[in-house]
Amino acid sequence: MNAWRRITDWRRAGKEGAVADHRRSGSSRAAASPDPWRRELAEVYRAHADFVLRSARHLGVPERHLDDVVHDVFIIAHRRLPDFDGARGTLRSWLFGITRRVVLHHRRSSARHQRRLRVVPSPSAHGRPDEELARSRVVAHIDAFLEGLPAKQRIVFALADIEGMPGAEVARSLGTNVNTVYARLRAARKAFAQYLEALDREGSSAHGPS
Amino acid sequence: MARRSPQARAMLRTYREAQGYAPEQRDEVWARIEGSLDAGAPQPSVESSPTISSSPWLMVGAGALVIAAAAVVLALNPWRSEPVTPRNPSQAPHSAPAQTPREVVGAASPKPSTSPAVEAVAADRAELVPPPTVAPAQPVESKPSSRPRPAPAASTAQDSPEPAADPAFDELQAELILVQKARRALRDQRPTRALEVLDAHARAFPKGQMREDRLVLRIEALCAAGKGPQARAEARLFLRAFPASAHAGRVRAACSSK
Repeated sequence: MNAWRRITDWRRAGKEGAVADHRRSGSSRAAASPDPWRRELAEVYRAHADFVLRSARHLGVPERHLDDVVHDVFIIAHRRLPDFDGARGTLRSWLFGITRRVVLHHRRSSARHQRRLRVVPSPSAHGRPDEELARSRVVAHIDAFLEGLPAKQRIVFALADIEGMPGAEVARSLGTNVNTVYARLRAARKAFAQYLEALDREGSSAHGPS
Repeated sequence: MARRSPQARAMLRTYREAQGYAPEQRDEVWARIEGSLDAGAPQPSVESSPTISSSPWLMVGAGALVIAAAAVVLALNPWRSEPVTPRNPSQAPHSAPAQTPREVVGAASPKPSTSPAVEAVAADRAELVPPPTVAPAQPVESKPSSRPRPAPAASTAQDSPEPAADPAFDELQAELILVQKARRALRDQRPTRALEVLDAHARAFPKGQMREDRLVLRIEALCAAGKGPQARAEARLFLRAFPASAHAGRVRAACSSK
């Protein structure tokens, strides 16, 4: 959201102010670049790279192609940043729109169900071994749950309950109406509750008296 | 709406945190993005690109405005019904005054020239650019006014309200599409096809923004096609030309598994 505010401010200040600001506080190549949108992109990337990565994953991109998708999304985002209009939706829903299009392209020739069951947590998890083990279990369980959901429910559940998007924003991102979003979310949450119950039952029967 | 239990919320939070990038991985992908942006020709000016072309609704609106303006011009044009008496003495009597609206539009807005590669991927373009996420109920005029931009250098742009295509953006998308095609071909174990696509990219965009990506893919495609020595020679050239490339590791490893 901060990145969006900065973009709006930039527009208000005009190009010259933006370039000056960019040179004043920029860093590395982004700051040295004559392209005034590079630093904005860097900020958008910092704030939303994880979101784009997760969205691509939720949209079924195989693990080995995720970086390619993220790369392409931000290359396009760089070109489209000047056209971004905060009044038409949030930066996240805008990025999600680009991600969806890029994923469609990537997916054309690959099988629909290549989604990888992620058992090992990402290397971002730095913690004690027992914490990492617990984390890896959670990731594996939720991946398995998402894998079993119908695609439309999966993406709604991912955006609303994993990414924390409000229902209206999810609806805008997916180009559907809010009632449909809530109906899918309700079904997905119900399935998730049942999944957790089944997990609990399994756990208690595994540890119960034999 | 089914409520989520605290356990469910905690699990989803953990999942979300675990599914992000590791810092070094995030930096690596960013370096690659910057590499692609830096590569090849100087960055085309974003500021000079017309904004209207991004939205089909705005294009329709702008097109309607052009036609309406042309109709008004024609309606007010005193020569239309009396072509014989030009007001301006310097005007030749045979200069055809009666232009159809289509001719007026065409004259006022010359079509931007696009490369064949751009035209070839025109159909794909629509899929890469997200459509407006809000219903097109917004006033058409609001978008251009919300974007203060320097006026385009070409004077014809001021004469014509019709949106011109953004050639820089078209080219970048065309590049992206070709690179993606090559990637897909490579992924589908069709290295020869990938090489053909990459050659097409090299012909259309010799100094394109995705030149580095093209070279890396070419090296990988050569390896996959069993042309190890050529791949290694090109890899050496690549590493010499782009020693600090984010792809350097990938290039070094390209033929190692073959």
